Amino acid sequence: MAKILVVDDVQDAVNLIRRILEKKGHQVFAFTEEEDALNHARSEEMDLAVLDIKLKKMSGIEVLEELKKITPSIRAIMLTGYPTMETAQESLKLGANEYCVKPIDKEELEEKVAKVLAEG
Amino acid sequence: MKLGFRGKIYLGIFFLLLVFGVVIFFVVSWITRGALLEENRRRGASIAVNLAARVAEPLLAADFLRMKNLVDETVLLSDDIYYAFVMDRDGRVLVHTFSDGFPVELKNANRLKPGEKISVRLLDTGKVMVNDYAVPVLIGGDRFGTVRIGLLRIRIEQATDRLLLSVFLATAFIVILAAFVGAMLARPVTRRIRILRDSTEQVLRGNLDVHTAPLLKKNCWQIMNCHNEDCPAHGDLRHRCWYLAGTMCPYCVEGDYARKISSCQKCPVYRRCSGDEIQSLAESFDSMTLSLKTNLTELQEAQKRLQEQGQLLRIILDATPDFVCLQDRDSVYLAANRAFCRLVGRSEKEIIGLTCRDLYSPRLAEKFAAEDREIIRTGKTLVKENRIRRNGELRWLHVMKIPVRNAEGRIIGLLCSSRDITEFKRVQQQLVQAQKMETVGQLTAGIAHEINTPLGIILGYAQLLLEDLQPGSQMHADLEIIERQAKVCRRIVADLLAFSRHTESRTGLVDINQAVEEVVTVLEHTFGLDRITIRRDYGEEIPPLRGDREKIKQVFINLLNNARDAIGKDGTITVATRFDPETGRVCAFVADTGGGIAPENLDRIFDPFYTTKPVDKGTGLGLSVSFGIIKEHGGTIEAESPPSRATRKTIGVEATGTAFILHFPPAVPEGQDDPRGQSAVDRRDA
Repeated sequence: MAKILVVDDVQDAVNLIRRILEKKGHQVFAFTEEEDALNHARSEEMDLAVLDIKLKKMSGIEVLEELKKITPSIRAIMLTGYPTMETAQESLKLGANEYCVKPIDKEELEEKVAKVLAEG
Repeated sequence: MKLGFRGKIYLGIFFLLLVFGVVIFFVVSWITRGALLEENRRRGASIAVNLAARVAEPLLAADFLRMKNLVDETVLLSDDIYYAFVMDRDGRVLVHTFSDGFPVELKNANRLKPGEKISVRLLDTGKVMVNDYAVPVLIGGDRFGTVRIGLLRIRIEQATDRLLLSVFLATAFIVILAAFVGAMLARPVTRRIRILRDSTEQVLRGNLDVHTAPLLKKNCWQIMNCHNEDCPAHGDLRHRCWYLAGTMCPYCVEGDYARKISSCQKCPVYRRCSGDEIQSLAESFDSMTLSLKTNLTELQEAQKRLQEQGQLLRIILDATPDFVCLQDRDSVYLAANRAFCRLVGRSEKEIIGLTCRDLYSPRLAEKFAAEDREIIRTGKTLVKENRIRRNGELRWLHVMKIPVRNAEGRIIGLLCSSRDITEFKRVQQQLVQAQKMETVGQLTAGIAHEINTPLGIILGYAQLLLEDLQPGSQMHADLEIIERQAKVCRRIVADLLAFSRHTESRTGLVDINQAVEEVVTVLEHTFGLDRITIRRDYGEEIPPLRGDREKIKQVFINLLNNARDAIGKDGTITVATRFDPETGRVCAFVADTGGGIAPENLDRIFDPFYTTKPVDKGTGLGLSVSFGIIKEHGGTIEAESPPSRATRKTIGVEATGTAFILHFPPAVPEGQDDPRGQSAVDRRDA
């Protein structure tokens, strides 16, 4: 139903999220390389981005910033295994809609995705 | 019998005068007598010569009447002329004045030699002494006869005796007078000398307030008409200005007596007031004792100060808990402070004179002695740490042995100062431990973070698989277990991460409303999914707290999470802050509309690992960590379930669920801290 961009530096994690979200009927584009993800976002408009904060070259927040430049209306859910208030606040400030602590619960993720997409 | 000075003077003068008088007496009388006799003789001679001249003509004319008249006249001249007679050239008596007949033996009593002008002989008639004068009667150079005159010596004797008496009396009078005058002069001298002697005895006895010199009639300030009260000589009746240094007359030269005196001697005051040698002696004695007294007082004060300093030093040495002792080159103890004495269990008196061998075991003593020798040889300070057993406890001592040098730089001993650093060592060890913990914490954080990713994947796939399997089947059940345990791991890691974050701390001023709001904004998103709303009720004018912002937020995270867990779904969490001006404390409330806590569990909720949650829902660390953080900040936390009436009134909640009430002391103002949580200077928690 929605076009979701997923970026995480670990392949298995990215696959997992794609599996979960595809089950829900979304179109998921999963990347481990930030550049590839951004290029894709430029070529095709995304509705939602699920971003890990810790990535290979940039931080997920920076990626979010870039994505917002490409598609200002894009929604985002940030994932992190090491949540600090600073990152949470920053991501929320930059327009992330949700914030998830890893390891994520499958249901939690599904609910959050639904909620964020529903906010429209 | 010993004679005093005065007695000696008296006697001396007396004898001197006596001898003098006697000598004079004899000399004068001898001279006078001689002179008188001589005079008398001259007189007699001249009378005789005179008579001889006048009798010459009658003798030639054989005028006996005339001759008799002449001799009678002669005798009548003076009453000491006894007789007079004339003899012719043959020695026959022509005329004489004897009324009872001529004594025959007289005729030849005084023979005149031819050519002799005069002959004088002293004759003794038996009754009287007579000077007999024989003079030739010369006519034309020829001797026609002899004139003989007799003069009574008794007159002469009387005269001389009178004279001698007068001389004698005069001498005696002079002697007495002189003795008297001498005595008069001697008395004040001896008196003044006696005063001086008494003053010296006073000084010997220790009394330096002596007054030997007499008071002056006019003192220097009266003579110079000076009113300068700052001058040391002003008003000082007892000390002369030329002995005092620092006098302020225009004539006066700077300096002490030696420098002043030559110019002082020209000064009118000196000329007027200085006396004889004895007075000068007395004056200088007074000034000397004055300066002695000043010096003595200064010395005594210096001694007192020294004593005080010594006592002060002693107090300091005895007050310090360090063990201090002083040893000489042979390691013999010279001094020890109270702490050291207590350590070795002896009094200082006992310790002085002993060596290490007397205080320690032979092995230790030998070791110490060797160290001491080395220090004295090389002059290098030794620093070491000793372990000793005291009262059964093991204690660490930080020992410093310092070589002590005298003024020439030679080493004369060593000072040993030891400090009990057991506590310090403990703290040191704790620090090492804490650092280890911090490293572990950081490691943990890293590991935890790393684990989270594969954990998440395991959990995720387990859940995915569960979706595809038949509930009730064995595989489903097994996968559920996997899912559950993965969740347990997740919880453990989460708490571990939370815990490890605590090792980093920054203290500053914290605005509690701000901190809580930050936590709430982040969490309400998640809470919203469970339809839990967070109601904020922040107080106004709440003073900032001093503490670690992150830690305080962590507390609220924990409390809010607990509240969420208590509610489950559909509820309200109330977060409130208040300032109580009476107690001066900041209060925070986290109240939920959840299930509440059973009364018997209320005491235990802050215990570590206490949890009512199932294994996959909680580790039980949250509240105990929060409790620790609040305690660190000097605050208190308590739980009310259900909330008390006061609490309900304060924050407006219902009587359901649980309310956590936190109290914090406000920050004491210090430095330029930014109340937004980051202090100007990073400070680690103490």
